[in-house]
Amino acid sequence: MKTAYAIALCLLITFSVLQGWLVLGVASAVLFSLYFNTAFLIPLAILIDGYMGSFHSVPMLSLAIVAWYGFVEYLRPRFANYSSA
Amino acid sequence: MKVRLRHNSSRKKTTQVIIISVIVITVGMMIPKAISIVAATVMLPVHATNIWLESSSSLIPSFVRDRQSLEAEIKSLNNELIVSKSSSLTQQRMIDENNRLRHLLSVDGEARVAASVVARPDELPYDFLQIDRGSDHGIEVGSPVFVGPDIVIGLVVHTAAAYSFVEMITTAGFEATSFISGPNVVAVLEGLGGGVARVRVPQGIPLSVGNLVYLPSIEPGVFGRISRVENEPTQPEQYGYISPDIAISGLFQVSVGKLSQISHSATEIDEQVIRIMNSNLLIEPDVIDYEATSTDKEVVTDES
Repeated sequence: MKTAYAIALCLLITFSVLQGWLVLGVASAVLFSLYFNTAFLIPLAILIDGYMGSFHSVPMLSLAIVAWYGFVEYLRPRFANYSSA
Repeated sequence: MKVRLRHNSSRKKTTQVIIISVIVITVGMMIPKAISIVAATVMLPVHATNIWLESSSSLIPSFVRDRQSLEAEIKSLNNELIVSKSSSLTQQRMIDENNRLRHLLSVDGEARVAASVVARPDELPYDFLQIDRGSDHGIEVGSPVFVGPDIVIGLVVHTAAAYSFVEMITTAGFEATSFISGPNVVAVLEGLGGGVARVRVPQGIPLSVGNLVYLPSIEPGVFGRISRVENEPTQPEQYGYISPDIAISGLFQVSVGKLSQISHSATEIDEQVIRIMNSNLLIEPDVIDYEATSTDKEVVTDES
């Protein structure tokens, strides 16, 4: 069941980015990061950038997701310490 | 202690993921450029050779281009030849069928008189011909003159005992009703002299080079094909010029048909019908035998 939710969220993020619904896409990505491993968003972002042809210049989405992954992983232990405290 | 170890391993794992992602993204950014450089390097000699062959004026490219264009022309001519062969086969079949049908209907070709051309327009005024057959050979004024089996060129206008004069359809002032196949319209054909005639049709009729022109009053009466169309959009009419396939100076032998081949106009037919009607209503002044209805015939006969 958890896998199904993860897949559904990935699909929602993909369609949102492709359709230009950035608010929905960002919200879905944040939700995904809360419940699942953010690392799975990196290959998704690379694929979307490849589809859009962004690798001819700078693939902003991929770099943004990598930065988001680092940010989430930086914050996760602090939230864990805070909740345990 | 455990928490610190887990925290360190988690940080290490995060760092590894970030580094690998950045490497993958960097490689992905370099791949299109690398492929385009490789492709350009590999394709450059091919592209340069192609441009040299297409646009250079040197000996070898010119030879190659000429050869390619000649091959294409040979191919298209072969196609045209195949099409014309099949057309001629169709034409021959239709001619055979026409002859067969004529034979079935007992409409055989009428006997014609062969004649040689003894004088031509360069020796005679206007577009006239002199032939070496006359009334002694069965030539009549008004008989159509043919070149080949069905191409009519003129009418006999004067006969002597041993020669005749033929007025060609192209002579200036000659007018005839013609039928143009293709647009399938009836038009007036007028001679212009010098072996040229023209048809006059209104604008909007799709007249084109190659349309056959018939003279319906003469059977069979193919005159020729339209060789030039003169169409000025500001003029109400357009003209189609017809030059017979055989030049006048090249006419050597012709055949003269019978007067019966020329059909009469509707006016002439009406006049003839009225003449017949007028003579049919005329009662001959014969003695009429009287016959009484109440008396026996034998008694009447005896008494008379």
